[in-house]
Amino acid sequence: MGTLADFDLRHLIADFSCAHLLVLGIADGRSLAEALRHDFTRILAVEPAHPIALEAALRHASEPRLTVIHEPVERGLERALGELPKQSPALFWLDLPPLERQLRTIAAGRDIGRDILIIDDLNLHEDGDYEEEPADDAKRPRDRGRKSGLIDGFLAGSHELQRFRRRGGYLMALPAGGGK
Amino acid sequence: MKDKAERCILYVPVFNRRAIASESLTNLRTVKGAAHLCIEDDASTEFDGTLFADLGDSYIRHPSNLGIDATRMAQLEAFLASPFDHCYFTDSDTVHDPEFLSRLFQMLERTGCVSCLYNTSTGYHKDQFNIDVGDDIVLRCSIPGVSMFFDKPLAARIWQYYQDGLRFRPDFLKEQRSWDWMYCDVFPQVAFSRVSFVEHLYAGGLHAHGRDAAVNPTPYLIAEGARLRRKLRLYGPGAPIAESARPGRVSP
Repeated sequence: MGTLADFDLRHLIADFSCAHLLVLGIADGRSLAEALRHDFTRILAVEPAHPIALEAALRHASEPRLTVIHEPVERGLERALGELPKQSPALFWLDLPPLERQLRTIAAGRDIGRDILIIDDLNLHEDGDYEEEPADDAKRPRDRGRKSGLIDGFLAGSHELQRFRRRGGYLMALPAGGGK
Repeated sequence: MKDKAERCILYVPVFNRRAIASESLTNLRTVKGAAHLCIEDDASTEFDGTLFADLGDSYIRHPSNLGIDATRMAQLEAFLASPFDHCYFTDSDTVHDPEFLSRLFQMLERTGCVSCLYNTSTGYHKDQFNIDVGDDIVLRCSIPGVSMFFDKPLAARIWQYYQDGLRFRPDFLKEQRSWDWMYCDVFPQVAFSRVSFVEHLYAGGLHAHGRDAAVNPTPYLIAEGARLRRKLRLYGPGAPIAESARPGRVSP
């Protein structure tokens, strides 16, 4: 399980004018807590599991920048996309299965050319030499190897893709040619 | 200063990470003055031949990968047998300030200790007991790692410790977590500059991402660090996986 703390959020926000964050999957809450330490003007967190959503909402109740959306993934994502300003670059933290549907929904909902996307637990989606294997092997899609081109298919045309070995693997998609 | 620099050798090992190594070695080439820059390619797999040969005063490519521990010990042995008086170990993912060498000589002359220009406040350096010896230098028991400057007597003590370990302690190599821990065993105090003259751009995701960035960097390091962060897009945890290293991709 990864965390946003592995990324240089301060400079991502500054260099890409990335003031909004959309978190898909709160998990243990570490990424959300890390995000709240930084200068995002708005954070939207979609969480389908009720106990996790409730815990996060209560823990950060005094934080006006944060909205926790407790909905099934796709519906919650559509709602969150509707609340994001279209013209302002956003950072997406993708930490929920199934990835393909999330990418389709995001791409259909906005022009992502200036957005940054970070995919956690890349070992669930692509073969590779990562620090960690999936904790629950059953979560790994059977056709992971065949689908290794999935992310490239969505993002390679508009973004520069960086993959990292750290923990279960990350993919970070930065706007091609973007940034200050 | 020029005379001293001419008798100083800088050892920089390279293994893959082409983009950052190119920037780092170019920087070192620019700021090193009269010092001798020796680049050792530890059998990189992502490029071949003598990619960085023109940047070094000498260039060695290993026929097979030795790893950093063996490479560093071989460099130590080579330095002891060389005509050089001083030696500096650094990595190929760094940026150095143009004044780094004069600061190293100043620190070594002032303290007589292995000297380091990379000051950090987290990781291994956290909660250290610092002895302030003036001139913005503190002594602390820590790992100099990415920035390590010494003369022959200091190098000889490390080499002796290494040889004695191999001779008398069957588990010596297993006990050593990595080559630079030996410096902690031998030297209880390393001299650290309060002002950092080196930025360590990444190593396993620990460095230069806000948690282990150089403390009090020089204005040059601030400007160069920002330029390289944007140019090389250094926002993630460590070095990205090279395209050629991904499953199904073919190495050049």
